[in-house]
This record gives sequence, structure tokens and C-alpha cells, in this order.
Amino acid sequence: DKLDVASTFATSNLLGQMGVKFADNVEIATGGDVKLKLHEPGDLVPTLEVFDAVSSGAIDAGWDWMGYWSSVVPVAQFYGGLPFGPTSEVSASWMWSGGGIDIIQREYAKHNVMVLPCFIEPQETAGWYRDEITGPDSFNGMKIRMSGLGAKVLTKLGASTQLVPGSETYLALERGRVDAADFAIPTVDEALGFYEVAKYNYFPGWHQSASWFSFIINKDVWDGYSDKRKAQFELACQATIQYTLNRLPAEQTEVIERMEKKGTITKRLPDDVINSLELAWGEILNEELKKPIVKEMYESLQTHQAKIMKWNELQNLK
Amino acid sequence: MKEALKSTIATIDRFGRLLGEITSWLVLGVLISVLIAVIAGALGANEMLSWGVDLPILGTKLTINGIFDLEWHFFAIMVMTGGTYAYLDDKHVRSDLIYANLPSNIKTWIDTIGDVFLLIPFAAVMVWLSSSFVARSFNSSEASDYGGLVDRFLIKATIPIGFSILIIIVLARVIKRFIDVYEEQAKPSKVRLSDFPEEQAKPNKANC
Amino acid sequence: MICALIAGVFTGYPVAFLLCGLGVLFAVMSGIPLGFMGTIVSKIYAGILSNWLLLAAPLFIYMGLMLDKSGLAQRLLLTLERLCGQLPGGLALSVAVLGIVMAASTGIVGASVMLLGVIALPVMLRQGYDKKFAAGVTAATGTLGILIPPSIMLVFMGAILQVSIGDLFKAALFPGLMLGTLYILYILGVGFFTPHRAPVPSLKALDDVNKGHSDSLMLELVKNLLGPLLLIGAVLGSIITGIATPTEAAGIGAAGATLLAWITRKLNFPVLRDVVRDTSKTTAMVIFVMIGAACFSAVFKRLGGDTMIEEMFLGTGFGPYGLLVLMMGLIFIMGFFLEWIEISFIVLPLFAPIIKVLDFGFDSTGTELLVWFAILAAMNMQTSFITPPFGYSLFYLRGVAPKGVTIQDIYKSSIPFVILQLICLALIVAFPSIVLWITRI
Ligand code: NA
Ligand code: NA
Repeated sequence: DKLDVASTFATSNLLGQMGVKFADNVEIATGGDVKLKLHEPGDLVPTLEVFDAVSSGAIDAGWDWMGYWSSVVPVAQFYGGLPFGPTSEVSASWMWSGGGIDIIQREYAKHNVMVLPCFIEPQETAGWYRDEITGPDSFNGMKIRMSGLGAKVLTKLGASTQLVPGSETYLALERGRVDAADFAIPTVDEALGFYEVAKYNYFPGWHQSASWFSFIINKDVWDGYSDKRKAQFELACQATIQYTLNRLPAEQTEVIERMEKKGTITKRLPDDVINSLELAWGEILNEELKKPIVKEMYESLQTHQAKIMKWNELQNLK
Repeated sequence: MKEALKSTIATIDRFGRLLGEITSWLVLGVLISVLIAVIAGALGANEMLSWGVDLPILGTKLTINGIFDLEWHFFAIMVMTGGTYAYLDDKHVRSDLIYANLPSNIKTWIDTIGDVFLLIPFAAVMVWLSSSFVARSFNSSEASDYGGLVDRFLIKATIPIGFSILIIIVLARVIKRFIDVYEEQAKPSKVRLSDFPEEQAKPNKANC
Repeated sequence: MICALIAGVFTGYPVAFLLCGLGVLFAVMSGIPLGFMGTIVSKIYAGILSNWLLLAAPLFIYMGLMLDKSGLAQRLLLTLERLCGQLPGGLALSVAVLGIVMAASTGIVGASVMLLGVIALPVMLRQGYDKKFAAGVTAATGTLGILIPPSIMLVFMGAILQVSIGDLFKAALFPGLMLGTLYILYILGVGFFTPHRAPVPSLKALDDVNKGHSDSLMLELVKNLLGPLLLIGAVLGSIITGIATPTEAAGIGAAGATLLAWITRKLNFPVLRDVVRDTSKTTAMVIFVMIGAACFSAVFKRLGGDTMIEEMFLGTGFGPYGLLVLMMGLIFIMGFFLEWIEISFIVLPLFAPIIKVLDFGFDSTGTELLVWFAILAAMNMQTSFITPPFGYSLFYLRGVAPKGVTIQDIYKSSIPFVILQLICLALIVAFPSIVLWITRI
């Protein structure tokens, strides 16, 4: 059985490589019965059309960042990246044991799509800035490449956020069409060479403390699978999540140190900036919580997070 | 009967050309929105206008991302109707190394066979599949998720609408060619009375 | 499928519709579910209609047409003629400069060559130029426009190969100017060593030329030469320095051309109407080939055609340079019959993945290889367009050339220019840094 998978990321970078990892895991889990062929972005369908094409059955499956589908499934942007949200460990726990998957699956099912969130990216950096951030006012009039909920927060602080496609981000930053750009985690950013064109790499990544990437498959295709086959896919998915949780956090420090040797200045955003961002996010969140589906999802996450926090507190040695 | 058919065809033809003539002005829309985006980008302005009511396509406010969207909205409409306009004026690129020297009745046959067996089937498949594409967008109230324009289904609808118009125009052309052939056989004078003076006035390949 | 395409192309049926139709036809014949064609709807919407990278195309086309239809191009030629009139080969030189400046913006070969054929060739012949020389100047410089930025061909190549359009513009600038310089040297050489082929007009004739103009040469220079040159300079400059994206620069160029036409009192409703109408038709024409290519190649790939081609190339056992020469040879032959539009949309996507993984022995990233390859392909096509006996530009020139200029004249006239181009092509193959140095700074 061969399945064509449209990837929204090039397999030359980590985000696409994790799709390949998942494909390998599926092949192992099924004893070689199912082979996933990952197609490069734009090969089968344009990047932002993968969801629609899987939904219509024009293609079988896709490998994506969940935030891409927020124009069709608005709650997906909370899965793609939640500002001031919980850590990737908590997020993973909520997804698979706290009901996170049920809510998003219910929404995706309306579009005849089955979703397996299989890769959780750790907290991103706050982005690459050409100039120093000295206070909340620094964002005023700044042109920033960013998408999703984080972009709405920066807009509140007076920034002009623009959606520059990934492939043009380097050039836009180099030539000053944008003054700053958020992309992903250091492993990915290093490969794209952002350290060559922007001096400051800011932390912490307030705009998405954990981001989900997923395997999506047309529901008719999925429903045609036996229970055993479905379980094999889920096994492969869990193994991929565990792999990323194991591998990535320590690796980021190595990469950051490598980039610092090349001149990157790693900096923490001033506290008053973080406070202003959180305040602005609060306003946006209040607005978003008026949508029932967002409310349901957010409360479910809060409840689950509270349980984990209480447990951690009880176990705290210091 | 035949006269009625001929005048219907002439009307369809004129409608297609008129539509192309009107939408061609949208290139100025592209131009102006690009210029506004340049200026707004330079000034660092994001939200430009905001109004209370929820308008179709525009939503409740106009941001720089909305302007970016406007650019390609104009472009999309211009291209989808421009394809038909270019068909009417025979501006679609041909490899006319051989074609240019063929007798006109063979040219007519090539075009007719191509239109019937290649162009119309493709356009029909596109109308069919893009209609559900538009419906999916409508059902999910698809909108920009970065503060751009809303009601994406409207701009997506230019695909089925554009191809539907193309099919109608092409069908009219095909029927007209058959009428012409029929009349030519009926009248040995070989003078072809065309209903389309505009078409004759223009040399076939000028400007492209 | 490829055979059907080749056969179809020769019937002269519009290539865009041929590609569309063959895609559907072969999908049905090989039992691909029609639902798969939904991917083409996605590609039309997201890859074409909403692709902001393509917005530069209608604006560059508009800019070129505005310069042409408002008569600015023609007046530019007349001014250049007055300026260079006494130089050996001066008129041909004016035509070459006009070709570089003007064709620069329309970017469609057929259009550029016909434009020069209509406005420049008769002027040269009237002045007693050898038609075997004048025709070559017209065809070659009219074709040069697709290479020298701004070029809509490069806009589309950027979108096809997924490389930055700005990088392509920068990369094409130096090879384009190098070629332009060779042309100019050749023209000066002809004028200097064989003056009977490119006669300098007598002073009386020159006086006649001057008499037709009420302004002094200086004033005319400012009015007719400075404007367009500043405009092109501003457009290119803003792309190369990175002040503007290609789309923004094209917008500035289009607005500037309109402004220029207005200042020189050449802007009126009929001109504007013709410009927008032709812009719309030309843009749609290119875009429909793109739609057709999307349809054809989706089905072709689904049937395993791309892997077949890849295996065929790699199965030849050639080294990287051997494969490059093979690909260049194929593009060269196709350039006899097809516009750059079809070649770029159908062939480049098949070749690009092969090129990307080859090791040419010079230090480069995959993207740089693609930029280099794109410029090679562009230079190559440009050569094949003017290579007898088949050559796209020669064919178009014959269509508009004055009576008395035979196809043999046009053939003979183009040979020196083909040789100059082949020299350039060989130089770029041997020294990739000719293309890449500017993108590296
Ligand atoms: Na990001
Ligand atoms: Na050009």
C-alpha cells in the first residue's frame, strides 16, 4: 500500500524531516505493508491547499503545521501556537490524555479529514531582530514577519505584521523589507541562515510555547483501514512525538552556541516587554473566548494543565 | 431560426468581449493597491480604515494585509475573464510555424477539433471540481487568518464562473464556424459575411 | 503523452488549451480518478491566482505597453537616432539601445521583435543599411529583452524554480549587459570597417532629420531619453538594492511610465484603454499556459513520467556537465518552435530536480545552482530564438519585415549574433561566477 503525502515543508529541513521520520515509523509498524511517499511542498498541491485537497480526496494525505488551517478551522491556530501557553510536555499530555485530540478531530471531521498530531515542536524563539528591543515602544512601526495569534498581539503594540512566504523570508530580512522575522526553533532557523542577516535572536518564544505538526488523511481512506492498521499508524505517531521530545531541547542549546560563535547575540526580551505582550494577549484571548469552540478547547487545556501543576507542586523538593 | 441562432451567438460574443474590456481595467486596481501597499509599508501603517458594519469581502476593516489580498483579487478576476477575452481575439500563443501557412478551412478544423475535444472537456472538469472547492470554502466561512480579506469563497468562485463563461463562448464559436462552413457551401461566392467586425479589424498576431 | 504534445504543438492549436486538454484526456484514458484533477483547481487558486509573486507580471507588461503605445518608445528611437546619427553604425546602435531598454519591460519575444521590426527596421533600411545587417540587429536586440531585467520571463522562472526573483534579476544583469556590449561592439565594428553596410547619413540627411523636430537636441534628450532611462534605472535599482520587491518595483515602473506619458502629453483615453486591454490579454495568455502546464504535468507526474525522465537522464551515464549539455541541447531545439513560456513551464520543472542534485565542482548551494541554470536556460533560449532556419524571433520578424527583406536575408543577418551568444553561453558555463558574484554580495 503506497500513500501519497503532500508535505507543507521541504524534507531538507527539520520540519519536513519529522514527516519522513513518521513515514519510516509507519513502515516499521506495518512491517513494510504501508509506504508513505512524502512529496515536496507544491509538488502535488500548493502548500496552503493541502488541507482542502485531502478534504476533497484529490490527494490521500498531508504533513503540515496545524496553524496553517486556521482560515478554515479557526481553532487550529491554537494548536499551531498558543501565546503564553503551556510547555510542550504539558501540551503533549493534554493532546493525547486530556481530550485535545477529540476537540480538533471533531472539527476536522466536518471536513472529512482525520488528524494525527505527530510532532510537537518545542518553544520557538521570539524571533530574529535587526535592532535591539529596549521596551514595548520598540515594536511601534516595526515591520515583522509573523503569522497566527502572535501576529495579532504584535499588531496591538503597533507593529505591522506581514506574511512573507518562508522561502522569501531570508531575503526580506536581509534587505530590510521586514525588520524582524519569527520562523521556528534554532535548528530550523540556522539551516535557513537567519543569523547571517539579523543580529539579535530573542527569547523567550512567548507567541508559541509549543507547536503541533500533524499527519492528516482523507477520512474515507482512513475508515477503509482495519482497526489493526489504524493502531499501527497511532503507534508510529506516538513514537515520532517521543522522538522529537527526546531529541530537540538539548540540540537547541548546541545550535545556539554555534550561532553565537558566528556573531549572533542571544538576548532575553526585557520584562516590561513580556508584560505588555501578555497584557495585549489577554485582550485578544478575551475576544477569542467568545467563540464557543475556542472556549471549550481553552478550558479543557486549562483544566488539564492545573492537574499537572498540582501534581508537580506536591512533588516539588525545594 | 438560423438568423435567431446567429444573433444569439453574436450577442454571446459581444458579451464576452465586453466583459473582457471591463475587467481589463482591473490592472489599474492591481497597480493602485500595490502603490498603496508600498506607501503604507513605508509609513509602517497596519490598520488603515475601520468601520462598524461587516461588509462582504472587506469585513470590518482594511489593513495592509487586506491591501495585499486586494492586489491578487483584482489579478484573479482579470486573469479568469482575460482568458476568454484573449480567446475571442485569438491572442493565445500558438506555435504557428506551420499553422500560419495552412489554408483557412484546415485552420478552422484544427481549432474546432481542439476546442471540442481539448478545451471544453478541461473547462467542464474545472467547473465541476471547482464548484465543490468553492462550496467547501463557503461552508467553512473561510477568511484570511492574518487580518486580510474575508469571504474567500467569492474570489474562489471566479474559477467556476470564469471557466463557465469560457465554455459558453467557445461553444458559440464552434457553432458559428459550422454555420459559416454551411453558408459558404450554400453560396459559391466565397465571400464570408462575418458578424464580428471587431475581429476582422484586428490583425491576428499584433502585439503578441 | 509527450508525443501527443509534440504532435499537437505542430498543429498550431493554442498551446495552453492543448496542455489542458491532453491532461484531462490522458487522465481519463489511464483511469486516474477525475477527483485527482481537484489538485489542479488548488494549483490554479493557490499557485497562480493568489500567488503574489506573479503580480509583477501584469505590471511589467503594462509598463512596456505604456512606453510603446504612448509613442514614448518611438520618440526614444528618434532621439537616439539624432544623438548617434554621426557615429559609424549609429542608427543600429540606437536600435540596440532601444531593444535593451524597451524590450526590457515587455519581455515577450514575439512582441518585442515585432515592435522593433515595425518601428526600427524601416528606418534603418531607409537610411541605406544592408538589409542582411539591419534584420539581424532587429531580431537579436528584440530578443535580448527577455534576458535583461526587468523581464517577465525571469518573474515566471522565479515562481517555477522557487528561487528569489530578485536574485534572478541580479544574476541576469551582468550576462545580459555583457551580451549587449558584445552586440554594440559588433555593430560599431561593422559601421567602422564596412561603412557601406551601415552608412552614416550625409549631413544634409541629418539636417532633414533634425528639421522635423522643433526642440533642440538637448531638450529632446531630456524629454525623451532621460525619462525612460531614469524609469528603468529606478525599477532595476530598487530591486537590486532591495528597497523594493519585484512586485513593488513593477508597480513603481508602471506608475512611472503612466506619469511619463502624462507629462509628455501622450496620455489619453484611447492609449490607456489599449494598454489595459492588451495587458489583460497578454497576462491571461501567459497565465493560461501556466494553467495548462499545471494540468499536463500533474497527470504526467501521476503516471510516473517525471521519474521516467529522471531515470532516462541519469541512465545515460553522463557526468554533470554531460547532462547539462544534453539538457541545454534539448532546450535549444525546443526554442526553435516554442516561446519561452512553454519551455519554462513544461521543461524547467522536469530538469530542475535533476540539476539540483548534481555536483558541478564549484562551491554552491542548491539555490545558486538553480539560479545559474535559469540564466543558462534563458541565454540558451535567446540564442535558439534567432538561430536559422527555425527561430522564433526570425519567424516573427519575417511577419512584419518590409517587402524586399527575404527570409534568406534574415537568416544570414542573424548568424553573427548567434555566434556572439554562443560565446556568452560558453563563458557562463565555464565561469559560473559571471552569474553568481552579484547575488553573493
Ligand atoms: Na513560527
Ligand atoms: Na527584459
